[in-house]
Amino acid sequence: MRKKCWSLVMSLLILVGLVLTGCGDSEEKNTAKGDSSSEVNLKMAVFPADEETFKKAYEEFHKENPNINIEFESFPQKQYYEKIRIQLSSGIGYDLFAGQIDTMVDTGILAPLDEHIKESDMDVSGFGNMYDAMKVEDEVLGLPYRKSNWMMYYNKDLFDEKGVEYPSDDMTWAEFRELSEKMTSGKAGNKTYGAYIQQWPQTWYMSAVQDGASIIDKDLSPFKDALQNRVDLEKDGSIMSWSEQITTGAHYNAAFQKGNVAMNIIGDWHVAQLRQAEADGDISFDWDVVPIPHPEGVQKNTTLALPVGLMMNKNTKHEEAAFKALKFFTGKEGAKTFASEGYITGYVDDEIKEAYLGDGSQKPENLHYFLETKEYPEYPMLPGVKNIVVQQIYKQEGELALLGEQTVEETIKKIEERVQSEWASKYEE
Amino acid sequence: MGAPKKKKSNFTRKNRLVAYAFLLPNIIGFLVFIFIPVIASFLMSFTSWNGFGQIEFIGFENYVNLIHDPNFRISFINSILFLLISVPITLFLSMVAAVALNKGIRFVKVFRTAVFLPYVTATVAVAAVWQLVFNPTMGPINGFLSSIGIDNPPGWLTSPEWALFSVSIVYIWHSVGYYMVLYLAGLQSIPKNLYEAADIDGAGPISKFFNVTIPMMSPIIFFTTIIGVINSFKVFDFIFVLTDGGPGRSTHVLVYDIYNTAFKQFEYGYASAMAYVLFLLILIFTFLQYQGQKKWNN
Repeated sequence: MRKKCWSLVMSLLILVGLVLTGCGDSEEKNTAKGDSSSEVNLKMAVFPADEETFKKAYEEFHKENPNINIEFESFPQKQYYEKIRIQLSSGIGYDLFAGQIDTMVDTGILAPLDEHIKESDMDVSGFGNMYDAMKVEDEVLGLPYRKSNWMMYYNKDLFDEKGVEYPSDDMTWAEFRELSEKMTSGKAGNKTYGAYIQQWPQTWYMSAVQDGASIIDKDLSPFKDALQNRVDLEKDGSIMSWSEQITTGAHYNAAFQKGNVAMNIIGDWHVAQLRQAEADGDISFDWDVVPIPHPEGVQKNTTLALPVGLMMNKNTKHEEAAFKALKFFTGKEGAKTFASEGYITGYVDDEIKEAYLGDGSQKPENLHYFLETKEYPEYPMLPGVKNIVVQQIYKQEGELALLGEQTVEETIKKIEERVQSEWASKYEE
Repeated sequence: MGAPKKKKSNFTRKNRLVAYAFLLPNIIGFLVFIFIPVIASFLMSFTSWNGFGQIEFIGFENYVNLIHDPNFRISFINSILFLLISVPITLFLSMVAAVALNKGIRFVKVFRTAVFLPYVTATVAVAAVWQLVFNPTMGPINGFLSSIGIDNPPGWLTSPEWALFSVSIVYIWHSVGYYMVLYLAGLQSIPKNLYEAADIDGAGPISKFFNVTIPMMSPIIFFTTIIGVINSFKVFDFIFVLTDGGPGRSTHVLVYDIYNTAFKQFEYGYASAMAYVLFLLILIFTFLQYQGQKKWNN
C-alpha cells in the first residue's frame, strides 16, 4: 500500500516535471544560435489566400538558399491578426509575418529594415513611391509584396445576351448606376443582378476616396454622395440588398461565379480566384476587367489600393536569414511568382509587368489596366484606423443607412462624431 | 500511550499527503488555468496594454472611461434587454414542457429528447439554419406572415429593432431543453402523497399546480432563474454567428464588446475592466443564489 502511494506521488511529480521541461525545451530551441553556414529554420505567418503562392516562391528561394528552411503558418483571415499577435506576444513567435503594417506597428516588434536594405544593396526602385509612403517615422518597417488594387470584373456572356455594350474604361458612378439597372432582370429566385457590391464599408466609401477625401477627415461631407450612390443602387434593385447578403452569407467570389451577376467590384486577387475556378471547371462564362467607375471630374482608372507587407520580428534569432527571405519574397524574385499568379505586386518593373500579363493565353484579356492605375490608399495607414474607423464606425453606421434606419445625412454626421470621439481622441497626438 | 498516538498522526499525515497527491492535477489545473488568469486580468484592468512591451499602470482610468463610453453603455443595455426577454420566456416554456412531459403519455421519451436536442446541437450549424428561417424575403416566417396579410413583416436579424429579439428566440429555443430537464427532476421528486391529499380535498389540476407543484418547486425555480440570468449575461456564440453584433450596434452585448475590445482592438487592459464589471454583475447573482440555497436547505 505504502509503496503504491509513493509510486503514485512520484509518477505525478515526473508528469509535472515533464510538462515543465517540455515547455523549457521549446524555448531553448528558439534561442539556438544560427549562423549562415548551418541550417536555419524560420517560421512565417501568412494570409491563407497567399499561402500557396508563398510556397511556390519558397521553392525557388530554397534552391538558392538550401540552408534556410521556412515553415509557413496561416489562420483564417477573420482571426488572422488576433492569432498572430497572441503568438508573437507569448514569445513563440514568427521570424517573418505578412499583414498590413498599420495593424502591427503598435506592437513595437517590427524590425527596422533600412540598415539591411542598404547593406544588401537591395534594389527598391521597383516599389516606386510606395517605398516612402509606407515608412513609419522615417523608418522602413516592412516591404509590400502585394498591392490589392480595386477593379471591376464583368461577365461578358451576360452583356452579349442582353446586347449591351461592354462597360467602358471611363465610366462615372452615375453611368455605372444606369448600366447596372439596364443589366438587371428577372425576379427573386432567378434574378440577374446588374452588379454585386461586397458588404464591406470600403465598397461604398471608395468613390469619396477616389476624389482625394480621407475617411478620418473632420469634414466628411464628400462621403454623402458616396453613400447615397450605394443606397440608390440598392433602391433600384440592381444589386443584392445588404440584408439579403447578410442573411444568405453572400460572398463576392461565389456570387460572381454563379453567373447571374454582370459586374463585380473587388480587388486584384479575384483574378487568381477566377482563374482557379476556370481551371476547376466551375465557371464557363467569359469575363474581363475594366477600371472601377470614378466620380465626375476624376481621372479614369483612379482606384484604391491596400498594400500588404512582409514584416520582420526584431526579436528574431536569425536576422540575416530572415531578411534574406523577406528580400526575396518582396523583391523581384518573389514579385515574379506573385505576378504570374495574377496578383499586383509591390515591386514592379518591366520584367514583372511581363510576368503579370503573361503570354496572353490566360484571362482576363485587359489585365493591363491594373498596371496603369492611379491609386489612393484605402484608408490612412495609422494605428487603429482599420480596426476602429473602418471595421466599427463605417461598417456599423453604413449598415443602418443601407437599412433605411437613418438618412445618409444623419449617417455621415454620426460617423464624423464617432471618428472624433472614438478614434481621434485616442490615437491622434 | 504516546507511541501509538504518534503512529496514528503519522498515518493521517501520510493519508493527507496521498489525498493531496490525488488532488494535485486538479489544483495545478485550477491555479494555472483559472486562479492566475483571474488575478492577472484583475491587475490588467488597471493598466493600458496592447499585448506587447511596457505595461502602463493607469489606476482607475479604465473604469472611469467605461462610464462615458457609449459603446459600453449600448452593450450594457443590450445585455439587460436580452436578459429580460430571454430568461422569463425560457423558464416559462421549460416549465410548460416539463409539466406536459412529466405524465406517462405515449412516446414521452421521444418528446423529451426532441426538446433537449437543440441544447446539444452545434451553435454554428444551428445558426445557419436559423438565418434561413429568419430570411426577410425568402424565409418561412415572413412567407407565412405575408400569406396572412401582413404587408411589412420585420427584417428579423437584419433589422436593428428586431435583431436582439431574434437572437433571443434562437437562444430560448436552444436553452429550453436544459431547464426542462432540471424541472423534470424537480417534478419527479415531489412526493405523490401530497397530490393524493389534495385529491381528497377536492382540488382540481390547476389548483394542484399552484398549491402543490409551484411551492414544492420553488427552490428549483429560484435556482434556474439565477442560472438563467448568469447564462444570459454570458451569451456570445449566438451573437457572434447570427449577427456579429449588427446591424449597427443593435446586438452588441457585454461579452461581445469585451471580445471586440481585446481581440480586435487589442486593448487588453480596457477589456479586462469591462470583464470585471460583468464579473461583478454575475457575482451579485451568484451570491443571491448561494443565500437562497442556504435558506431552502435549512
